[in-house]
Amino acid sequence: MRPRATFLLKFALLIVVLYLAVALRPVDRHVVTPFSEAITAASAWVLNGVGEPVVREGTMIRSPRFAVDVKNGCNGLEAVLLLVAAVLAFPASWKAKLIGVVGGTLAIEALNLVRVTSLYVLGRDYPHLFETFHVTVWQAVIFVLTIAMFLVWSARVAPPQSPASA
Amino acid sequence: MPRRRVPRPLRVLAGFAGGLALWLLLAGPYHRLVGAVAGSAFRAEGEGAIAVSAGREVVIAGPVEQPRARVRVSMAPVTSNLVLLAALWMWDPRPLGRWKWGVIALAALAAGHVIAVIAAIHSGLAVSLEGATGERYGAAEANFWFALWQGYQVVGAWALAFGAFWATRRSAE
Repeated sequence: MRPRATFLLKFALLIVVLYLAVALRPVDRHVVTPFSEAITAASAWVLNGVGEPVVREGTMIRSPRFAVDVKNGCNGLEAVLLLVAAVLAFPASWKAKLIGVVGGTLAIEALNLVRVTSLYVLGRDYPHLFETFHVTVWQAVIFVLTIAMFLVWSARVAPPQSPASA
Repeated sequence: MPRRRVPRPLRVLAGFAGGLALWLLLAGPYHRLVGAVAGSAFRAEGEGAIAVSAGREVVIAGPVEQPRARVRVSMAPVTSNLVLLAALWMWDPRPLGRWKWGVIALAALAAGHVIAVIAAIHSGLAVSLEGATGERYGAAEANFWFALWQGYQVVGAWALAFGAFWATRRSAE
C-alpha cells in the first residue's frame, strides 16, 4: 500500500479510537471535566492578571458583563487528539513521536489559553462577533496551527523518501 | 529572473483569509443546498420530516406521528472545515498540485457535511422524542447518531479537512 494511503488509514483509525476513548463517561467525568476546569482556572488567572476581574465556577468564567463556558471542543483536547493521531500514524521513531506529542500538546494548550481569554474579551465588547469567532475563526486557527506543527515536525523526523517533504 | 517565493506563513494566512471570506460570502446558499440534500435523504428514509433551511441553521419538523418535535442544526460547525482546507492548501508552494484529487476532496467534504446534518437530525430527534425514543430509536441507534454528530463537531470535521489536504498534496508522496 502507498505510504500516503497507509498514513491516512492509520490516522482515521486512531482518531476514531481516541475520540471514543475520551467520550466514555468515566473518562469524561474523571479526566476531561477536571482538565476543562484546569483550563478554565488558568484562563481566569490570566484574565485577572491582566486586570479583567472575573470569577471561575467549574468550567464557567463570569463577570457581571459576560460569561463563557469552557466545554468539550473549547478545551483544546480536540486539537490534541488530531495531533496525537497524526503523530502516531506517521513513520518515525518513538522518541520523536513522544517529543512531537508532548511539545505539540503544550503549544496547543498555550494557544488555547489565548483563545479562551480573547473570546471572553470579544464576547464582552463585541457580542455580535462572538459566535463567528467562537465556532469558525478560532477553531480553524487552532487546527491550522496544530496541523502546521505536525507538518513541521514530520518534515524534520521523516525518514528519507517517506511521505512528508513539507 | 527567478520568481520569488511568497513565505509560507503569508501564503497560509492568505489562504485562511480567502477561505474565511468565501465561506462568509457563500455560507448562506451552501447551507441551504446541504440542508436540502440532507432533508431529501432524510425523507427518502421514509421519516416524513421536512427540512427548512434558513442559511445559518437547518430546521427539521418532526416525523408525522410526532409533528411537534423540532430539531435545529446550527450549520457553522458543520461546514467551517472548508476554511481550514483553504488555509492548508496554501502550505505547499504549488497549491493543488493534484487538482483532480482536489475536486474529489471537496466532494468528500461536501458528502461529510450532508452526513453530519443527517446525524444531527437523528441525534436531535432521539433527544426531542425522548419518551418515544424507545419505539423510534433503539438505545444503540440513538447512541450511534449522538456519537457520530458529537464526534464530527469535536474533531471529525477538522480531521476530514486534514485528510483531504494530505490526500491532495503533491509533495506528500
